[in-house]
Amino acid sequence: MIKLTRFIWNNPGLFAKGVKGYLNQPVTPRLAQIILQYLNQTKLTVLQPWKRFGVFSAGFPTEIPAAMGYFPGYPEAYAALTGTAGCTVPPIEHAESLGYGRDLCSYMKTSIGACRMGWPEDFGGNRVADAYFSANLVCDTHLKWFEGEARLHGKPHFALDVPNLVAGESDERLEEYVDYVEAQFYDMIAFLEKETGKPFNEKKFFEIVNDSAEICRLFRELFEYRKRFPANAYFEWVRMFMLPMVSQWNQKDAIRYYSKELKKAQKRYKDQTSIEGGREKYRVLWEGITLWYNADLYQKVLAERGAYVVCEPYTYSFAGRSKPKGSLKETLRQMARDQIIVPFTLNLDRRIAYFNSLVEAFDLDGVILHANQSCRPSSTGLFDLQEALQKKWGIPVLMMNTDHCDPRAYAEGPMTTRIDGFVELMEAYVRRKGEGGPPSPENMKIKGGV
Amino acid sequence: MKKFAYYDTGHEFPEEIVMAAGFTPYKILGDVNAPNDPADRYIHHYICPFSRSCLTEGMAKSHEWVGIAFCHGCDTTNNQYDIWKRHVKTDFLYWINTPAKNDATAMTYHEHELRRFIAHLETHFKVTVTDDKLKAAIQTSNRIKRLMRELSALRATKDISNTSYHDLTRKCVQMEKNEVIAELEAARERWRNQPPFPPDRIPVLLTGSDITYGAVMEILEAARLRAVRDDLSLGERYFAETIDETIDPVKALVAYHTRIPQPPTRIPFERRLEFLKKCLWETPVSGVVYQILKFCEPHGLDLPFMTGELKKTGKKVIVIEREYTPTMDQQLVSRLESFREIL
Repeated sequence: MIKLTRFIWNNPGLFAKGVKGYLNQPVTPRLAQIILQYLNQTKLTVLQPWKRFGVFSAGFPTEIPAAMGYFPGYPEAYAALTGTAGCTVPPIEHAESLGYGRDLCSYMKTSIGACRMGWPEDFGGNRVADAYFSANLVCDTHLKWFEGEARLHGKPHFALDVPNLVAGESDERLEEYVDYVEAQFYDMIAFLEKETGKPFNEKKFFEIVNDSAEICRLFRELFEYRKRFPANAYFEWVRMFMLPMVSQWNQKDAIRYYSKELKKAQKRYKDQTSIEGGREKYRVLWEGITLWYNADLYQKVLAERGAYVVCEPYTYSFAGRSKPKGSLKETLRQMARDQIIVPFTLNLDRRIAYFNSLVEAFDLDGVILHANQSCRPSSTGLFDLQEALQKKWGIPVLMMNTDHCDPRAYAEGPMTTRIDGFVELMEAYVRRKGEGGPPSPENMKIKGGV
Repeated sequence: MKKFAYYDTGHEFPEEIVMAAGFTPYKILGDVNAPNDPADRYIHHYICPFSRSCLTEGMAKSHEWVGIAFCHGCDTTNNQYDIWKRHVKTDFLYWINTPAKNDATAMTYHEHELRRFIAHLETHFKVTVTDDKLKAAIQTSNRIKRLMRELSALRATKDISNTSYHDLTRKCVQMEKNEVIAELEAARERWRNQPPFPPDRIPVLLTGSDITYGAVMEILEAARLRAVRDDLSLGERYFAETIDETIDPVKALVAYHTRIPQPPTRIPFERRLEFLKKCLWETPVSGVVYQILKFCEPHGLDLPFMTGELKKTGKKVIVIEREYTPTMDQQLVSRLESFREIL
């Protein structure tokens, strides 16, 4: 709270902007409460020396450190929230003044800049952790970023090296990778035992794995309701709604919350495919990280044109945790599989097949591919993906060149013009679909940067 | 001898295995003089231009190679394998998932990866890679590394241009190995007879992104700076260590890769820093040139920590970001000239 007070004192204008940004998010009071609870609990760990504060990269299997008492701190979540507040530019520029290049991950720069400026978690910073944990299942940035932070603060760092299951690799190959990741899980257990001075708490581990699987199951089930007409929820909501699943903090509460939301959806739709309001004019898939600083893109720019994001592999990627198996070994092996095959990091062959299935399952009318200037892994392969989708479906694809957390990369005027063009193409596509004619791949793409 | 190409953003690829299989390893280095347009159809412009140049080369020249292997390196390599698989014609495209760590678990896994690679080479090309062939390849490789160490050491005492050194490092990874040895032996004779280190040149340690074309070296030369030490993959990372010839050859290769000056794609980064400090301690240099290729993420991530640590040694450090272009960037020359003035 001291950090927050100091932040408000030093940056009253920015704080006001941040509050406005937070209030612009389509969150319910209950979700806002959950988010605030998470942020406050992060801060309170300072006053709870019996708790260990861990800092984790997105997607890291937190269940193992959590079983040893580590609270899951997520710099990317803090940075994302700072993005929704519209306050990432000052920390990003601060990080750039330290030597981090303009094209490097804007999550990382938001976090590093905010930490160095002493900003609170609500605005991207985070306290020094007792240990740092990162994996390269998404990107190498995670390894280097957390290693750097650990070195800076003289704290231990555990790195999880997750192999890339490249295109064409077999299930046999996957199991070889699972062997390697499993071996590292045992290394992590040894690391945690050394750090905490306690034996691994297997019972607690199974309980946590069970709960995280349940959270993911509920999220996946809710995700299914987005296939209905109208979709149960849109991206601008889901990206906030996923926080309890991403953070895996207070799992019992998350299960209660998600269960209630699922019951609401069940009551809303019963067994009907379409309910009052009917199908959206245009149903869109979003590929890549969301534009955290730009909720209005979804809830105004696209929505005013009748386009809604009903599906995004990004949020679904956090919902892949499985139930525990009969033994520690088998559970760890399953966790390893869940780490290697994630929608967000699929190889190109699998990615194309996955997207083809989504086009049908969600009855999509258009696809937005986020060519993210500071996220190489999610940007690579987009041209091939675009071509494959257009070849098979003739579906309009908008390549959106911008950044997930750096609003400097978003040019509203040119982007809106391109969105208008995209919507026109969707109109033609929907009309052809309605006529039952074959989709035409011609003139179905918009390319280029802003 | 037929060429077997490899795409490796560090020094991860086990050339000796390919040599033992009867091929000449050829490191794909792209061509800075050729436009990247063919690759730009598949890869965004904000992704490493060197990687796009390599893909361009792959699409144009793959027919000259019996096969291609990738090593796990930076995110660029890891993600572009799939694009190569779609757009580069080859009968053999192989992925070696070299580990990002150097601990015991990673070494066990690395050994598995190398043995698997051998097995696939044997099956596909109907060859046998015996331990004896591997040991012979390792001996050849070590011979090259020792020669390069001798040549490299002459940089600090003789008038050896940056470009001459760079040319040899390129040959090491692209030419047939016996020809390389002949080239290096000839160069050793020439270099020994070169005049002493010129007084108007300033010795520096060169680090950062791998330099894959001569123009960068010419920029240094134009600024009258001489790279007398480096930790580049086309440089000392390639030859700073030799491979143990007395133990199981695959295990020796694994151990070798943990000892070399580490690329920024591997952690922990202390290992890289230790090597750079060792260079500064062993060789009198006046400053450090830390150059980064635009969009080179691993080096960009290392930069703030590494430069901070290097400055603690008391040496002056300059950081420059360069484009991927064969032209002599006069702005860089001016900056390096200014740097020279403060040394």
